[in-house]
Amino acid sequence: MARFLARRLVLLAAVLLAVTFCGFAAMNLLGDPLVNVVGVLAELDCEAIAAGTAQDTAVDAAGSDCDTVAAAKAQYHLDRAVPTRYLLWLGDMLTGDFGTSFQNDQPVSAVLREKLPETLMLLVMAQIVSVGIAVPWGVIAAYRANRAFDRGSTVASFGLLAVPNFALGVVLLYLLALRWQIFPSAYESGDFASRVFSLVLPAFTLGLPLAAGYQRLLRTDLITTLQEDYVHMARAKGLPPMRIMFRHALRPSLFSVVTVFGVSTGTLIGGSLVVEQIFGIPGIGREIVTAVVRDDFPVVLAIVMVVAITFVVINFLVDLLYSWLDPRVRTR
Amino acid sequence: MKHADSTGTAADAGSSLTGADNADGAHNADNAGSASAGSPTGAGSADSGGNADGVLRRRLGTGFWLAVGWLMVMALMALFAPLLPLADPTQVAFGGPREAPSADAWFGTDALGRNVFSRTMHGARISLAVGGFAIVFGMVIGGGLGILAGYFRGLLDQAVRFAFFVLLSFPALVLAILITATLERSLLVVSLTIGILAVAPVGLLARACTLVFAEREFVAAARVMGARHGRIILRELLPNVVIPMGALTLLGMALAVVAEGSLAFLGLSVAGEDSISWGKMIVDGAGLRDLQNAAHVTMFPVSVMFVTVLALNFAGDRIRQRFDVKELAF
Amino acid sequence: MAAHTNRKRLISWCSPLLAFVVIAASCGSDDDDLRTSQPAAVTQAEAAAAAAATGGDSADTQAAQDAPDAAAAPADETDEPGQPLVAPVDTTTTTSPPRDEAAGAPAEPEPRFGGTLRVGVEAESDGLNPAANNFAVSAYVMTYPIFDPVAYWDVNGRWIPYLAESFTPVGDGSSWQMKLREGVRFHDGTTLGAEDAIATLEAQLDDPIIALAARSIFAEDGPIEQIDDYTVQYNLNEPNARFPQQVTSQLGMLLPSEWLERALADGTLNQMPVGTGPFMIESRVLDEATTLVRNPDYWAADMVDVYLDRIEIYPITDPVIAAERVGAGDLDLIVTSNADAILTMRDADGVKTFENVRSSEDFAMMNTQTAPFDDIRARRALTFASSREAYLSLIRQGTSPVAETMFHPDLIWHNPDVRQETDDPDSAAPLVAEYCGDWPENCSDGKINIELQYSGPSVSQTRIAELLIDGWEPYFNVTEQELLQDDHITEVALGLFNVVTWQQFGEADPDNDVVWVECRAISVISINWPRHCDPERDALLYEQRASDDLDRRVEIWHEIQQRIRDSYTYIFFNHTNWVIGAADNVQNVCGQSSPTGTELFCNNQGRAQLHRIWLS
Repeated sequence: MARFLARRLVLLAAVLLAVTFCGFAAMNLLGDPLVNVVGVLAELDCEAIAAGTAQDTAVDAAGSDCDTVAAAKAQYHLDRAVPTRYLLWLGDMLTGDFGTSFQNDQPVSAVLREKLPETLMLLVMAQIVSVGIAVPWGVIAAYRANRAFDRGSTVASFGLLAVPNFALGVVLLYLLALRWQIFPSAYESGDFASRVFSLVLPAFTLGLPLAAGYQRLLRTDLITTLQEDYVHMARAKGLPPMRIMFRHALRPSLFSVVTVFGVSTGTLIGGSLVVEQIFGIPGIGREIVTAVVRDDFPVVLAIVMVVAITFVVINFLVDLLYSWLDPRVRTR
Repeated sequence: MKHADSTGTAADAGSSLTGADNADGAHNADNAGSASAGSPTGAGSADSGGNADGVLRRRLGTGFWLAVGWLMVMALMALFAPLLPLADPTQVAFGGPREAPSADAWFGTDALGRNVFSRTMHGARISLAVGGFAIVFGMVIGGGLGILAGYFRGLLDQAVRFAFFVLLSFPALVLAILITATLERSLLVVSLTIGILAVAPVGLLARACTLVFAEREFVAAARVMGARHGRIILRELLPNVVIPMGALTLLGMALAVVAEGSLAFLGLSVAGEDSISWGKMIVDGAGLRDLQNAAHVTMFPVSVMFVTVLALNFAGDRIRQRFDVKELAF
Repeated sequence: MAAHTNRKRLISWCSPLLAFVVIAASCGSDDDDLRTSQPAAVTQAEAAAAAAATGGDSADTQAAQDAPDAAAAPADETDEPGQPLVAPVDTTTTTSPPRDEAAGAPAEPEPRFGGTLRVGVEAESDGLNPAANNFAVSAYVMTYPIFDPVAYWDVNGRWIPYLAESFTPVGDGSSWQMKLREGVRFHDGTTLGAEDAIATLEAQLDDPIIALAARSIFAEDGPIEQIDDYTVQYNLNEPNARFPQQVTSQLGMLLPSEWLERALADGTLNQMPVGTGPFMIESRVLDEATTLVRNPDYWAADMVDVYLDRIEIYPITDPVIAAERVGAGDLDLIVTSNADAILTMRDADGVKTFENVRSSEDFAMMNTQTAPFDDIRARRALTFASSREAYLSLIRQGTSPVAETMFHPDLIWHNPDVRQETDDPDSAAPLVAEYCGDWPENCSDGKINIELQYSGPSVSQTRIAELLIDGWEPYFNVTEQELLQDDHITEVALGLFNVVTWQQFGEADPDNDVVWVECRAISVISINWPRHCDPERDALLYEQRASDDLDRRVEIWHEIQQRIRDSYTYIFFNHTNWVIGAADNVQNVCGQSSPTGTELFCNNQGRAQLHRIWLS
């Protein structure tokens, strides 16, 4: 186990390094990093200005644009070679320094602190919704495998999986918020309860397709489990079917849901970008889209890094959990 | 997933490929599971509870042909939209604003009085072009790398697998945003971006299949007869690996279409006034007042997109069962 | 990041300018309505009387303005002595039966003290410091209750002293003395004095962005000097017969001098400014909420009743959502010019709207300093090719009336002979052919190459772009550039554009709009956005600025409208409809009066006054 753990940790470290490098490369190699950081000011010929042969366009009486460019170069270590720059940037990030947002001069870490909770709440609610729906759905479908309900639910889940998030969001918004006016049509800040309530519809938008996925997985696994010897034995002993289902079959079958938990988190994060837009939720999904449009690169990069690192770590933990649940994996 | 190395990887590959819509976890668990308790997608088929043999022998069924028919129609529409007698999709005030469907405008008109039917058909162009190009890119790059990795093993294999792993470490849409954030959003860039998303899942599948075939007698025989690597890869492995990969084409395309739609919805897909796409149309009609007074502006493109993705998923799933990928994995 | 600071500040400044520009439009209801519903007919005489009574030193200048003008004014008002320069705001009480508000004040229920007013604004403001942040409509809604501007507009569109006791012109009007009231205290307890007025203006002139507008008014050398403890003298660039109307906006909001010093050192103070107004800022969370509470020590407490206990202001970026919330009772009041939001509120039960279509205009404008629009033929061709009718019906959806010039027909300034040459695409063809013959490098396939820039991502802006392009396409190859609003305004200010859509003009007195068209506003950063300089037009602008003669001013503005039309720099689409939408229980939205009892101009370019609202 220790050896296995050690190998996994090395892999984790390597992946994290590579993932951060990808983000860094996107900023430094796709396009001119200086333009990414200071925008049009990158075109200033600061040497000529220093030599007095060109004019600074400074709008701000307080400083010159060339000072700005110099400050940005220092902040992002742009005068260093790329590998050094990467390491310095990584160091900054590890100490919580994600740079400063162009948009409002706030430190990016503050932006993250402010926006992350809403997104986390949405993701948690979406997972609760999906598991809450998928477990009973999967159990009934497996219990009545290949009967009418199962057939219908297969069609339904197939359909749900084919609806793009944004389309489902718009349809739910139309029906539940506008037509029947059960839920608010947009996010409401305010006390905890009203926030949770206004996140219900977004959580269903994200959670329903996920529930369909979980349901299919669970159903298949349950059907397999129900054919195991020990289940036959339990049945032979005359235990009530529901007891068999929940006591003996469901628990081992939940493993398979655990295995896709990591992947599904990635799907949810992607979906939250869109859903936050539809329902006006002030989370990191909306923030990153705004930041992309604004070319607010420090914010884009910080959010991508936080999301990717979280995603990697979640998958790592799921992997550990799974290998702990099913020791055979460790022999791989 | 409880099986040997290669199986596990194939399942992983599948689950990531369709992972974006979660369908695949189910497919692959099903495939990988030895007991094969039935197809999870057995809608409308008589023997959905059957065993692996049943699955193999099953005909594609009317559902499949319906799906393919729909896809053909959409593809033809997309290809020939400019030649068909459709209204000009950018013509403002084709009818009054937000008119209900009528004989002139089958899907009604949008807020600017443009013909929604014509726009939906033209919208298919970008959606399908991006979807198609992306998956082809994923096949060529991902498939190529996967086969090489699976055949040569060793360090190359390690490196390629690691690269795939890293790619999969970004939630798909987030990676796409990172790329479109830095580059001009042309048709090519958007297609490439989504194509990159397809590389890792397709690559892992190709690698897993290659591992299996590389152990087969005919490959061993070719090797014994002194065939060069290039020949073995192209003549012996590629034709076999292409089948399972091809079986996943339509599923992958469904994901690519959705991904493009999401980017368009966020305003990050192909830019320009002629770039009508389903995602753009949906967001255009999704304002509260538009939804209340003229839901059809959004609901028609939503429906067409839904049916298209459904058809891709359905047909793709049937093909996957037909050329049973699972069988190859063992 | 300082670069971005610069950009951002420029931007934020521009947006307020925008806000300035945009006053109000009349409502979708029609002119007959306007004429018959005239609440102003009742109030204008009293108001004029009150203004004369309280105006003190200003009375003489106002008398000149009062000269009747038979030709241009609406029929039933022509021979009133206190003829309004602005038309009154319409109250459309949508679904509830016609209410007393529409007719002034008489039968309203008894005012009630207490309660919290919940207000939605379309955008958050970077900060609320009038000497450091540039104010747009939203910022004005938040800051007017905190600050009393030294002067304000009365219901007829004439200036009245507000926080100041009086204004007196010196000599030909190229200097003005302002006397402040004694004993006025800021929220922090310090006493208002001449040094505060000086410190505030100096800070504003030091701010690169606020100064762009301020420098057009105040002399470069010694813009302000102290006369005594409560009197300052403003020195101007040229004689101005109505200077106080320039200090009705953020330039007229005074801050304590020592607070200003601290704010310069600590930028976070910009969020919590200190004023003299009836409300004080209690808390502010950017992008979430700003809360104001009643100032227990208000200087004018003896003169006016302040009813509300608290005002909560929420930024809600989607105007339709905000409008829905007013209908649902989750908000009490919003300000918007978005057609969908207006229609939503008109349709909603229990919501009344105060609409003003007689102030700002929506238009497209062209950069006259770069190709192809440095050539008047290209500008004229674009005008011909613009489909204004489609714009009015599809974008404005009938909520705003067509605009031929920068003045609504109800206003005395309006020149009825000026017409925009839109919706005539065939006439564009020969011009384009001629232009492309001369400048083949700016054309391809016989069409002129242009770029349309607009702010986004926004569904409504995209729609506008698609609509305009559809009309232009036969003669122009149009590429689109979508920029975030801030960047968009910055690029326009720097002259990095061909054609953009914009909203501007419509100050209560057109003299306040001079800054958008005068030659001296053109430089590296230009707020004469189209960068079109016409020295003869400038001469006219400054002549009317100095003039006391209303007839002559009207004549001059008629000529200016003609000159602006003939330069083909703007393609006017419609008069913006600025709407204050409020729940039925919100009283006294319009018809508020100054501490000295003059009725105030309501809905000035969407700037709602919240001071004296009460809830029934």
